[in-house]
Amino acid sequence: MSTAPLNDRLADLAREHTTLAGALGVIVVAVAYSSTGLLGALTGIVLIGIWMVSPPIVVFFLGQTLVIVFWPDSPLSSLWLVETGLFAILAGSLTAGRTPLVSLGSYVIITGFLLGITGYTYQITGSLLKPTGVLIVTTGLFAYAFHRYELVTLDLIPDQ
Amino acid sequence: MQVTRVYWAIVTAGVFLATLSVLFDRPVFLVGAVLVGAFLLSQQYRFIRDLTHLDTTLSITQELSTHRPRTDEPVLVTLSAHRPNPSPLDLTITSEPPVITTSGPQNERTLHLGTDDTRGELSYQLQSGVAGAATVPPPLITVTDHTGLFTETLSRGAELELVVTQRTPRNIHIGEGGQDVSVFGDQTTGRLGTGLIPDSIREYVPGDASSRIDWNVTARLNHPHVREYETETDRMTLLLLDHRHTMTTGINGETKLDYARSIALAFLNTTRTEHVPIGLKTIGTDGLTHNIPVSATNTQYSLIETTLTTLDTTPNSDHPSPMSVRTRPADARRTAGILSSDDSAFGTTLHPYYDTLDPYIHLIESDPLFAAAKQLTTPQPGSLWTVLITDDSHKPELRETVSLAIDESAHVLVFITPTILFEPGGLSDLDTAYNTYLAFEEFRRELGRHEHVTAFELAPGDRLDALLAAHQHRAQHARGATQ
Repeated sequence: MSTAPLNDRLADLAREHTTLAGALGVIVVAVAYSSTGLLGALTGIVLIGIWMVSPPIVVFFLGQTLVIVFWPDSPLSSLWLVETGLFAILAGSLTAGRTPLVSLGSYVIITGFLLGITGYTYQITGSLLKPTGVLIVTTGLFAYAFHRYELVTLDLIPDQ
Repeated sequence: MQVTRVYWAIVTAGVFLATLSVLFDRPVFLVGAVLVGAFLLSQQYRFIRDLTHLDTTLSITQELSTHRPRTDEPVLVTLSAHRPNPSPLDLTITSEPPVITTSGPQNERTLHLGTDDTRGELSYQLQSGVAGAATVPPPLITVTDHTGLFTETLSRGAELELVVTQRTPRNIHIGEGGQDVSVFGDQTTGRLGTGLIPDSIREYVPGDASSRIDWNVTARLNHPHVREYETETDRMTLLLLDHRHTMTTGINGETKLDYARSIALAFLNTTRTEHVPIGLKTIGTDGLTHNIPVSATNTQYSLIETTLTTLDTTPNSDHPSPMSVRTRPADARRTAGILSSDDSAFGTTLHPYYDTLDPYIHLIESDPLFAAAKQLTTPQPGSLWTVLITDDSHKPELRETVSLAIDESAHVLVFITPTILFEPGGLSDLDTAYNTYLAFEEFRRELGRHEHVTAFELAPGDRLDALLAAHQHRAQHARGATQ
């Protein structure tokens, strides 16, 4: 039985799941960055180092925001490799649970759904403002629906 | 489900990416925001799945070493948890003691099950300084996702009943003038024999328990005699129990009220065994605190038992009992007669106050014990046995109460706790203590002289024995010195 304080464990747990999918993902991102030159290669190596000691979401965030530095004008279609790697980094942290395939499947499905709805909105409107709003609202609604589902399933709704 | 700061940090990162996509007009950041949103929703879905699975497989057991402890008696609480397989969820299971109890700090009552742990157990102690019924709620389980994004608090396991009862005295003496009297037949307290009411005297025959020998009769008739007890079933018993502040006197667990409670419980047990209807009136500082009508149902016996075991003394009133400073009606009449022939300013002034006894009657009626006795009514005249249990702190009131109770009862049993035998340090001055006890005994005999009234002293046997033995020793020593 563990006796370590819960808060200390939370910090440790964030780094525990250096899974195979995550490793492949960060390597793909590093390769993609290396294709931009020496500075990109160094950035890729730094990202791998960060991935080994930090939660995957940190590497994802850095890898995503640095795109603006290394691919300032590239269209989305030319960034599929780095986005795939970033997708795999997040997917890797979902494979450590009790039912990794279900988790991974849900991630793929939800990603596809959100990409579809935002992409469709973007095609219709031609601007990024409305798809962003649609994404935030849709994600919020889903999160609330999950929350209510949990309360009902576990009978946690207080008596009126 | 509650989300953590880590969750909000990731949400902020996603919103930041979405903002970048709008500011720089770069769809790639919107894709990043989509991946973040999908990641959070997937983690939430997984947490719910794991939590639902845990809820169906987790076994929580909480047990008490006893459900009916005495006050200040430690109760061992054992909390154990078991899940068949490791889980990605951390569990923090906390046992919540009832409000009336005290226990150690929360970390001593908290069980941690990490993701790899399937079983855990802890024990801790709780205790209560006050009597009462309470519920030990189910343990609180705080579930945390191993990624630190979500937590949930559940209440699982059985609710446990805890009834804290007062400590009972160990050495109860029931008697008359220092002599034990077998009020309940074979036993004096606790679980009772087959009888309750003294019925007849017969000669001792081999096989009779020696405790049933009536020594007073034996001494008088010069041959062992035992007392028989009747077991009427049409009899009704009403307990009048005084739990005013004066009943607090005594050391912890052996106060006057503890003794009174013991005798009341003994009556209850007897009546329960014999299926005799019984009722209970408890008298506090401001009047009746419980009024349970006479009945013979199992619920009734349980209700009275719970009431008795959880009964505590009521706070002292700011005003002294009016009866405690009053004279008896006979004394008042005598004084009024004297004052009527007194022409002095003193006699003239005081005479009107003694001229009428009405104020006295009003004062009596305002006294809680007397008021309770006044409410005695029975549908079957002559079948009610009134058991009055009180102390000697309110003698005039008790005297009038007994007189009143006789009118509605076939018999009145009075159990009086002498204050001198309960006061800590009360026996330090033996002469004073003995004289006080003699005054008490005189009062008890006075009550017992009423027809259909039997008055007993109810006291710690060891202290009474010590007082009588010390006095006897002194008397012998004094006689030896004069010879």
